[in-house]
Amino acid sequence: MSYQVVGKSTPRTDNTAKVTGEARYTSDVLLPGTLWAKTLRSPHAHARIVQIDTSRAERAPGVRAILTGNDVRGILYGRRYRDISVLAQDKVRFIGERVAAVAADTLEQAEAALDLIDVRYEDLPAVFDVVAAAKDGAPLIHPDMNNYKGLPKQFDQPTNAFVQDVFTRGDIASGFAQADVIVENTYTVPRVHQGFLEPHCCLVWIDEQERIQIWSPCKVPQGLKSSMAAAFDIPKEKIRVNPVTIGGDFGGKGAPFDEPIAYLLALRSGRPVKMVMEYREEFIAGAPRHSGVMRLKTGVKRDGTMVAHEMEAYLDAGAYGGFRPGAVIGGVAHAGGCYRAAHARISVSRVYTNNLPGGQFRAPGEPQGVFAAESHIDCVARKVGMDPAAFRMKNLMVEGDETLTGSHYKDIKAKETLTAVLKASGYDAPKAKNIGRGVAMGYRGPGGGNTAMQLSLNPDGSVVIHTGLFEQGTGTYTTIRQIVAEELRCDPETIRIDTLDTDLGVSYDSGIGGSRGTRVASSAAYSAACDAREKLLTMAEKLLNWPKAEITLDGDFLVHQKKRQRWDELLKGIGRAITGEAVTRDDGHSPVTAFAAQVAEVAVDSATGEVTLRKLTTAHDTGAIMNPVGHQGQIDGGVVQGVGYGMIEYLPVLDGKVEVANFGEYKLPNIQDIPVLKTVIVESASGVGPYKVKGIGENPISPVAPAIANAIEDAVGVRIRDLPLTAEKVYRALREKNG
Amino acid sequence: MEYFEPKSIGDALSLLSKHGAEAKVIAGGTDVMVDIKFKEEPGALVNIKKIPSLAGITERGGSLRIGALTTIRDIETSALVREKLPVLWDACRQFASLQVRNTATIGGNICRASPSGESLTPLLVLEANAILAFSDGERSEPFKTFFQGPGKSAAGAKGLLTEVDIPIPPAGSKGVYLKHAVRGAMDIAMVGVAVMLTPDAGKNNAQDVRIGLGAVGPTPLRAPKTEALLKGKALTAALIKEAGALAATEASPITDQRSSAENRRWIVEALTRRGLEQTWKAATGKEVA
Repeated sequence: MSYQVVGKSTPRTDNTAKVTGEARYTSDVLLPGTLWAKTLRSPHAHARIVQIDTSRAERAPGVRAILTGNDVRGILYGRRYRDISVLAQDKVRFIGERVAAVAADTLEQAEAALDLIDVRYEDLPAVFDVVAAAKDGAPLIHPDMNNYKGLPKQFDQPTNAFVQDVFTRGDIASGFAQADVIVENTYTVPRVHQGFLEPHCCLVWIDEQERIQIWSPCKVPQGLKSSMAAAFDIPKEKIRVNPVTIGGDFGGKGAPFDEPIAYLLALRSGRPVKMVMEYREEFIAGAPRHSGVMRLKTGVKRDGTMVAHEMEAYLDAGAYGGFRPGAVIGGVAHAGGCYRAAHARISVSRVYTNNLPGGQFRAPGEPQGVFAAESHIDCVARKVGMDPAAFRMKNLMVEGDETLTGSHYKDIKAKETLTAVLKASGYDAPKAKNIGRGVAMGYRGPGGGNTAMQLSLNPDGSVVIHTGLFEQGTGTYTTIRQIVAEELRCDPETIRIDTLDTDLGVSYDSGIGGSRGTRVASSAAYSAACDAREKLLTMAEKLLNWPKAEITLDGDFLVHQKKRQRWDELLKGIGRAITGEAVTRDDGHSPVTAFAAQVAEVAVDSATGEVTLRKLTTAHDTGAIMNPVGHQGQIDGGVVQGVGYGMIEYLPVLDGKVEVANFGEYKLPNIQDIPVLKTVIVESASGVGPYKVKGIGENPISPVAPAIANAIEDAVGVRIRDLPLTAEKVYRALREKNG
Repeated sequence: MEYFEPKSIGDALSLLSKHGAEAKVIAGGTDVMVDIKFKEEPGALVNIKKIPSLAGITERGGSLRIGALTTIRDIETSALVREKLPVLWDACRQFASLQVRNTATIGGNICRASPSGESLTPLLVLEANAILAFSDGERSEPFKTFFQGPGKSAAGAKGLLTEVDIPIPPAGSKGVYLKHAVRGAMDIAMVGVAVMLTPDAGKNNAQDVRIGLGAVGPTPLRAPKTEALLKGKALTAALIKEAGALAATEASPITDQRSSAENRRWIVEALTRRGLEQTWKAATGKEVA
């Protein structure tokens, strides 16, 4: 199919506003009389709150309202699983937990008042190790967990392991009995922060009609509305979330953060209340990607056929689990990998500890699971004396196979994707001493979701898309504009996008996430454009006496044979706009998935352990690519975040205390750390929706870290099973190996 | 916070005398502004950037004189520095990022007196002197005694570093600075090693070897025992191995979030060996045998 606009690189809708500073973010929104609020955070990991005395703070200059746990008794919030205390009630569960909140005329006054709040704590036994926390007898962090709303499954006795998912296939014991070789290893991954530039922030105002007006960079505005309504048991209609520009999300901006506190302070003070987390607060309490421990055990035949694959994963949820959509993290199940094995057992536990809460970050669960799985597959291949790429090729799923966790997809392109990356990367080319190449793979189907869209063609000639989706920063708006331009044969630059607040948007809009933006929004934009075109042509037929089937569109004009008529003049004549409407309810499992295969090439300095990533080649099995420049941006961005996860980033936490406070200490890769990135596209007609698309946002990130770990072993023969892959770990392993 | 822009060294010194430990001198601001933002504001901020003639690189007698306000980028791009003081040039080009190098001054890097400061170990091995102005006169202080601890130097609260006086090493002398860090730019050295080697006339032996160790003690350090071991000898693989091991014992690193102390010693060992191999080859044209 050939298109005019779709499939061509198109500049983003938000470039200019972001570069010139005109984009309006949450903290740019100011209402008359706005108060600033700050929270007092716990210095204890697990402690009983014996007493809170706010009397001195109440008398401090500028202070308008103070809240403590006593004011929010019984109120718990979360995205769907609701276990988060608005403010700590009776006890604190992590260092950094919010204990009290102050709203004052100025930020400085709010900060100063925090110092005047006296809290007495009595320490409780704490647990920081995720595996220890899952065991019987560990200090119980949430004794009431069985009563929390949204818990997928209740337990006989309260436990820290509040999610225990097990997928089984075949009979794992007999699988291992058939194996000639069994390889078992444990892999560990740290927490990493999303690193968005804009920290969590919000502005809450209770307007003159007693409606709760929220400004927040939440990428799931209807979800924020629902979470707030559920937490405070108020009708959803009372809440309106207003559109703002999101200053980076990477998965971390789907949950309510300080909105519940700002709401209560606004209620108490009668004033709008603004809260902006400092980055220090982001690091100590900002819901980073979960850390975890994963034990993998794989049985193979001597010829390299996988027969049994087992994983036991423990993800450290920290003190609260409600900062991610559901209680379960499905992505870790990707530790099943892209391979076939008759017998499998994948168990994933999400466990409370007294560490900071874990949250959601690009491809939730997958970077963890894929690091473990793809590192492990290499170890298994080496154990049976096979080249890791050849071992993968032998065991990769093919058309008709299910994933080990039981998902079925059609148009499986795993082998094609692997073949493409091996060829493009020069995987088999000769290499010098201490140079290594490693391969890793992953897969992810485009997520499902719901949205609605309207498209208006107005008497003034404007074309406006009305959508309840907030542009999360990935270019969804650019894509929907391309689609409307394609279907209406007009210039995308002339199309305006009107972001709807949550009153005007539809309540079932699932927002952005799970690489579903293009899948869900493209269907809606297409249907809305078709509907508008149909209505326009019907009108034209009536007014112009042109046969509808013979009318085409060309920018501002309706065209029939040699005759051209501006459509805005027709609309002026009838005095109203034409509105196309569409509803997409497409939240099911995608019938197709997308594979990613990557090859990292590293040089290892055997005297220091320093690893230099020389080249990274990534191959992607895609459907139609709507906007090549945006698609490539997602790939490069994902790979760069993968490099960070693999080599540099980690949030150090010692006995529950986060040891970094700023981006000087918490290092993200910068351009000097990024080698030449090469992308190979394996495009096919397989995909979903009117344009046959697949997702791309989350696919590139996960295989990067294991590809690098595998390349390190290829280069110098040591295996690092703990992220990030630092020089010190590599060098220590080299010393142990060389004695 | 009071803010001052003295127009002369004398005015600056009066301000420092008046405000004492409350005062903070600012030049490029790449460290000071971070402290003001993340730690605390000083009582008085004394911006010396308006004092004329504190920037520049000149050759005088057998020395290069570098003004305290000279930016790291100006040093990095100076043909004179690159030719005469390769060890300093090598450190300056690995300093933070281009943006920071455009702003940061050598005086600031020195007075910060951080054990990991990029220019510090080169100045130690070059046996350079700090030219310090006090209200009662000027003094030349060798860097060997200038650095007194993290953030502490012989300039104290009332002195002002005006210039660095660097004796030009003998022709034929070669130097390198090797940096070990987590990422490729904008990173603090986990370990920094500066090595300078001067061959004898026949290029058969190392007439002089100087080794500076950064980020492995409370101040940047020299490795005197290792230097003594090597002096006057032809460098061989066995000797370099011994020297690396000895240098590791001369470091006194700590464990922090970036590296264990043990690893820092290993890196000192590896980089010392590497620095010796590279300077030996550059100075004599021969590989280490």
